[in-house]
Amino acid sequence: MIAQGIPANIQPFPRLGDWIEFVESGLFQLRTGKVEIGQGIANALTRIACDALGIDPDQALMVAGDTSLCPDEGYTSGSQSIEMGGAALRHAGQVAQQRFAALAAKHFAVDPSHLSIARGVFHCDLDGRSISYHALAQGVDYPNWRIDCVEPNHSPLAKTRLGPAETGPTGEDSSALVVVGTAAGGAGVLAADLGPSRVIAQFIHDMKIDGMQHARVLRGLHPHAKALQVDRGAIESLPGVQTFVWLGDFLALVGSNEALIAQAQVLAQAYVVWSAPLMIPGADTEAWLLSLPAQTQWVAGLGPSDATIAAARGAAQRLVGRYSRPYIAHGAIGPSCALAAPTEAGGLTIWTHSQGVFQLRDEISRALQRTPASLRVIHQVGSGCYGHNGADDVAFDAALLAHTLNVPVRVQWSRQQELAQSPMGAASLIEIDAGLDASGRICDWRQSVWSQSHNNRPGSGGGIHLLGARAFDPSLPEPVAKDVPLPTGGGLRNAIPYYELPALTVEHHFLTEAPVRTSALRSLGGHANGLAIESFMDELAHLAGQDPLAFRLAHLRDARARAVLESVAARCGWSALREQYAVGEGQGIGIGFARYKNRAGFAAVAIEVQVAHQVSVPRVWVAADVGLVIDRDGVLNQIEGGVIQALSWCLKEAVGWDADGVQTADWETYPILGFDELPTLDIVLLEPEEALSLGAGEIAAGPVAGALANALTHALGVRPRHLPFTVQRLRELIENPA
Amino acid sequence: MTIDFELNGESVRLEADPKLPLLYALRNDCHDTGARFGCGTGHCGACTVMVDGMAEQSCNVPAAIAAGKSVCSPEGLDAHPVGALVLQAFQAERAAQCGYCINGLMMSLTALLTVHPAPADAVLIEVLNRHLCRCGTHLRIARAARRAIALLGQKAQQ
Repeated sequence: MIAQGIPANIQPFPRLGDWIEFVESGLFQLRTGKVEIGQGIANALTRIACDALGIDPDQALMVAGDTSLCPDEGYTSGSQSIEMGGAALRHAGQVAQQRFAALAAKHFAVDPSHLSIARGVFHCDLDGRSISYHALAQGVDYPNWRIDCVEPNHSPLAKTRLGPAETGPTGEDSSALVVVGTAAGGAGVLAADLGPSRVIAQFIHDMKIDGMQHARVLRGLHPHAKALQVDRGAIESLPGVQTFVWLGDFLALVGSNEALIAQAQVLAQAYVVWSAPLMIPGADTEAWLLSLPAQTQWVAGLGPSDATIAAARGAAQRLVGRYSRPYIAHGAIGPSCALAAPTEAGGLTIWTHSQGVFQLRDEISRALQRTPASLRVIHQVGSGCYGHNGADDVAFDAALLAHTLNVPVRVQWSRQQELAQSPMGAASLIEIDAGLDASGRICDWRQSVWSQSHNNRPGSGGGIHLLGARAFDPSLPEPVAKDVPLPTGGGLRNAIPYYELPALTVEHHFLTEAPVRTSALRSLGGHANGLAIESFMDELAHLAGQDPLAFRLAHLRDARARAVLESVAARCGWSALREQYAVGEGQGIGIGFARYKNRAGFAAVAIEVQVAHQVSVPRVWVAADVGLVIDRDGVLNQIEGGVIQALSWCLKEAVGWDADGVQTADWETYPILGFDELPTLDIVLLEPEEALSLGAGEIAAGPVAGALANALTHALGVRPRHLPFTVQRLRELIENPA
Repeated sequence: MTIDFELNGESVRLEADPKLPLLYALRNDCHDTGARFGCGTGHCGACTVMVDGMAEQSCNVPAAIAAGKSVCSPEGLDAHPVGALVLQAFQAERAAQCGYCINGLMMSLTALLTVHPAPADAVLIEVLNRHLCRCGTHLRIARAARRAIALLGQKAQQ
């Protein structure tokens, strides 16, 4: 029987030993399937488990994302890690403390109420005797204890009062540890990264293993590139190339000197002729997406019913708007990297910064026709990750080379490969057609979304998703295009407006063909849908002759939604700035709102712009409600990052093509926001009582896009509808407003 | 060729191709991995180190430029009188998300503040702008830089 309230991730991994092991030197090995991707999760999970067990963080050895040791908790994505992974570790720790407290009480022959705990040692408050987890565990088969039918229902033990000198490693009083701890976020990474003894091996890029060879893979500028001509002799004679691996369309240079191999990678491109792209998107995203075959389905409102048609007929005024965003690159600062080494038993160990080590292991095993058991995939920290980037692909590159050459191999992608070959955020087009009744209220709303998949991760649907796998063996099955299903959705994320709309229809034109692999990028379709809905709300408000803020509030019932909008309006001085800036005079203020996934965090954003010879954003205000805030600085850091990254996407970013493939393959052709383009940022966190904690990193992207478009419209007197809002595109819009 | 230089106060002798980037000599021959590969073309700043006190993007300069000079890599930051304050300022502001770009930023700031302890804001921004950050940590990084300037000012008054 499964007890109520057992975390979902415990059920497939029901033994205490799946999560916690008491190891040598009095330490505690904690195991999680959730991995650090720059979001500070390692720190947060450690604090959760330590608090549940009654130990301090310096006693914990966190092992994350190792297929041989850790529970498979699926992907580390979608702001689920604290909720799911944290709940599992907390449960395991609480059950362990409860059961070991019972053993300690028996050992002392006292009632458990006389026990307290500090640093993994149980103390008897009656006589001062003490005994540790490790001592109690002698001869006890605790790893096989079932924890899936035990609900910890007692209060945790009091923390033993320690002298003032006994503080935790961060200098805080360890008895004052809160559930998740303070200052998780990047601070854990930072402290570790900056400590003089910890600089080495902080990132996967810095790992070294004995006998390691350096490899670089040669690739064209699009994912379907085939090597039409290869001058093997010229490539093999390049300095530093000790082995040239040529398997189908998979070409790799291997040698012991990384500097020479990196140089050879650049030189070798002259000796390979790659096939042209199968598809080249035009610069006009709208026309491009409409030209592709689509699978259409109604996802809300079940198509135009009699009621919606009647509502539409009753409209006093109608409006249609189209909005788009182009393909967007992940652009991690550290290009993807992986290592793989043969084991003595004939297996392979692979080190990766993938977000899903188990899914990656299974897909590599299928591609190389090896058993999953012969592969051990271990997570190592990579550069900041905002979704499905090149991490899985480079891990396959390393695995294939180690499998083929039977030596340890490190593969480092180039900047060009990271920008041109990683999966990309999908381009999207959204059309909204709505009517206003005679009183200026929305009487019907039809939204249509054209977009490719937002999930091409290993393990999603059928087929092999790894870039190098299908180059090396074209007979491997192609991935089947499918999107993230609702309620969270991919292209449809936030496509259903959160406003009160009487006759709503939403249709999805899912595009099954793409010029690149499109996959998860921070907030998925929430970015483009936020641009569309929030732009269109302003357009309708204008048509109704109403203030954009008042118009939104008139269509929102949810008190938390109203609260963030009212709060951000108060912080920015909405009414005064609206009046102060005359329309079309170069300065503007705009507002945007969304509830992420319609079920997670609320964000309202106000943006001020100035447009002269360039577009600048002097000030941004955010009011957010992510429920109970456990780690205030971590939440602020994630919101700041979300706002700045979304501003960068909206103002500057678009993947571009030429006849060879992706042309925006360096930082000159794919510029991102710089330190000379920063706004001031005012963030207020609303914390309703008894609200559950929600993720913060992805809530701002949609509202930022909408608020920016609205502010630009205020400043310019014409509306930009298609991202990115570069000076050149805005100039074209002003010259040709149609 | 043999390249003799000083790395974080210690003498180093390397056999290296003088034309190949300094970055690989530091990371692979000297095992100082604090300078990081980001682009290989000097655009992102993740590889920045100091050569005779000047910030250099080590992916984009040949190892030979180190010959006879003094190199400070991120591993030498805490022993550098200005670098230690920069480090302290970044920690105080929690100015990192993933942290990949941060070492290079601290190197550039250390080079700047060693010569100009109180730079004009435009100069500071120009130096920061030689670096890219993707996590969106820019505002904290800029705050950390200004805190480092304040710490230097306090130290000068003592």
